[in-house]
Amino acid sequence: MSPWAWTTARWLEEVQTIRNIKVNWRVMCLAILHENDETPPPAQFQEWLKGTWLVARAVEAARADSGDEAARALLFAIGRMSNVDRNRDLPAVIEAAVSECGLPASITDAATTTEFDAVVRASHDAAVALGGKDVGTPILGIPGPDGTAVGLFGPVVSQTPRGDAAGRLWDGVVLIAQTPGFYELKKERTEKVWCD
Amino acid sequence: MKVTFWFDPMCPWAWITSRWVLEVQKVRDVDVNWQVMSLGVLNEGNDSSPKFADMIKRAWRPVRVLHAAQQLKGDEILLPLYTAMGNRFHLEKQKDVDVVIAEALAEVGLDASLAQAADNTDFDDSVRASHAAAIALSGSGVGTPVIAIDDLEGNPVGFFGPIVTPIPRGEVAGRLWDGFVLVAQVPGVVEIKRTRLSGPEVN
Repeated sequence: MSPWAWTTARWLEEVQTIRNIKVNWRVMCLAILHENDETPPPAQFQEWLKGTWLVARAVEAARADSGDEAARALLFAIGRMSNVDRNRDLPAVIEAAVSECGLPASITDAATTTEFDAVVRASHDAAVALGGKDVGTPILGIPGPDGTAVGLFGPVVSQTPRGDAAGRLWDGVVLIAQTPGFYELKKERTEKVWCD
Repeated sequence: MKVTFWFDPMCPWAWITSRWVLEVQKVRDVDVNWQVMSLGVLNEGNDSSPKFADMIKRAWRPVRVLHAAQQLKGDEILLPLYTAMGNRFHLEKQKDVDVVIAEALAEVGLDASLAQAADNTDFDDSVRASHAAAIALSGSGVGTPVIAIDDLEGNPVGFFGPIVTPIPRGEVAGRLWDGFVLVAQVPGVVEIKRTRLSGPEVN
């Protein structure tokens, strides 16, 4: 649901075509990220945040029903409809995405129950355990200096790098992740995020 | 490759990054132009605590001295004077700014009278201009250091960081540099971050 996670996810899809990597796509949940905000977010945003639960539950329901590839397909279908087509009606998006992916309608129903909440939380917590608490989504877990996974928030990109630029960014991110004690590289977000 | 590095001498994270850049120069072909930026300017309006406000006020002083030395001797004086100050602030934990300034000036062979620049606000406009050149590239809402290189089209790109601890040495330093260059030269990259798990290890 995060447009910034979307541009990074699209970049990783691109990287998979030009570098030898295999991505294990896992959900985080913006609603969980904002659970402990010191100042509660504005009411309208809180309403929208609740919707992020629906998406994460649907993806985990798809994983339980049909496996990781089904979960990935549903995640990208929902992401495209939300971020590229800018459809803000989340229940409708989930229903359409479930249908597009050829998944059973029971997955749409599961999004409105708490059946998968524990799984969503475990998935989210695994990301935060690697990347830390005061960052956002997406978090990438990649092999660090000693081979165990290092979590990085980002790379946050305002547009999805393609082709050679995508490959160079990947190579750079790996080098940075493998530096012991790397914490931050940042500039102000002056450009709007562009989702395609 | 040409690099511009803006620092405030009192920031321990900038110190680590600056010592990393010196390590990089041993293993990569990197030509650094050192410039000042200011914790005082960065934190203007932030009066979260009296102690912090006092630190910010003190932070102006060594930067003014660095800038006065730069105007007298040129950009080349900035690195040795920064190193002389930084060794005292960060390694010797010298809290007395006047002592740091006096000893650092003596170490690099500058006249002791340059210490008077610490309280001379005549330098503030040009310190602000140097600071603004950094922020023009990194944007606001970040910290020190700011580091800039040219992108593949030859346009300058600047970032806050890389924040890292401890100081990467040798080929580890070189690989972080390679990664930084690759990432910084891709259009649209704004952030890579993880939660800081430990404080700055300055040596």
